[in-house]
Amino acid sequence: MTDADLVRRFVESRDESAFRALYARHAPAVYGTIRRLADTFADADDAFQEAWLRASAGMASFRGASAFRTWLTGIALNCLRERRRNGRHDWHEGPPDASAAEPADHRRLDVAEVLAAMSAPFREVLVLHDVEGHTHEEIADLLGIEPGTSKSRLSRARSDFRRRWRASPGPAPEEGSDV
Amino acid sequence: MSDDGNLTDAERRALAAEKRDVPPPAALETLIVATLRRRGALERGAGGWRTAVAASLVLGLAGGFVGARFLPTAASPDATAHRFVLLLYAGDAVQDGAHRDEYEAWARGLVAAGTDVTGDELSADAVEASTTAAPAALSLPEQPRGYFVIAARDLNEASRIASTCPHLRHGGRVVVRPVVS
Repeated sequence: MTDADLVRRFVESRDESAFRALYARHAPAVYGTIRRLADTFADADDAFQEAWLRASAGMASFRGASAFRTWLTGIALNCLRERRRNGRHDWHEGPPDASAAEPADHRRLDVAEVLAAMSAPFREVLVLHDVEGHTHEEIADLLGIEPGTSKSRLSRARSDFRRRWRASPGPAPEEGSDV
Repeated sequence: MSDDGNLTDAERRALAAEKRDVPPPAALETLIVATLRRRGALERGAGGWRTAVAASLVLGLAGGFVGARFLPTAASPDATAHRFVLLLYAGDAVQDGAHRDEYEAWARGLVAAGTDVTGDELSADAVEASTTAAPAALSLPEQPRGYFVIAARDLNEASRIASTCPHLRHGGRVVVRPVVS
């Protein structure tokens, strides 16, 4: 059964099993994306939850122009950015900074730690492009920016990532790496 | 070194390796579904195997079962029938609603042939209840993904019926347990 079939079943009869099937199919991927982009786990949970509620309310307007997962990811990103703008961080962790990503044992930072230390705008384009594999056009749609902005921001985000990644001590992540 | 943009191959590979699914906490699905039910956006129990069987009954494919979910003798051709639970384990068939139509068709076929049947898919968001502590995540190694309750004369007939269950064709296992009368 396709996503479109499940969406139709949900819209036509508020079919809980159709909703749960969509959830089972897409929740792990969308939650993974949001977890990589959120400042805190609590932000990720709240944005993810709100995204599904909004998606359910707007399911009838889903026309299938994009993949359901992309559509849902866009909603979740909006929820996350709204939370960020409103300064809602339930765990009072606040936005991460570089010092937060310096392990006491001086090991090499892993990628997730470097990403967490970056600013949200840089992290967003880097994750969406280099981790999730979205195009600049898709990122523009997801973030409400111009494709050109996505490109220029990605270039600066990569520089920031590389600087943090290379500055961390420890062995290179892969043998034979040219890092 | 191919430095497309300003990352090395190793850095690009390290970033790409971050792409992985992360199962959300089970409590989130429970919260979302509960909220949607409260708002009237979800019809509890809509769809699924039970609906399929109910629809068959409404169409008159088998009489005497409506209003008595577990009443095998009423509609069964054999008044000596007993109830058996078919527990569906593993397999990919009921993880995301895939193959649901196939399961529904199988249940309809049983009803049409005079075998009482009902069943449900089971959600993954289960907890283990305790009298002394808050509900905890299940520690059991494997959970059923769904179940059917059928009427059959004996364990042999129940096993024969179970052997036709589409769950077996999708890598799952079906365990037949008699209900103690």
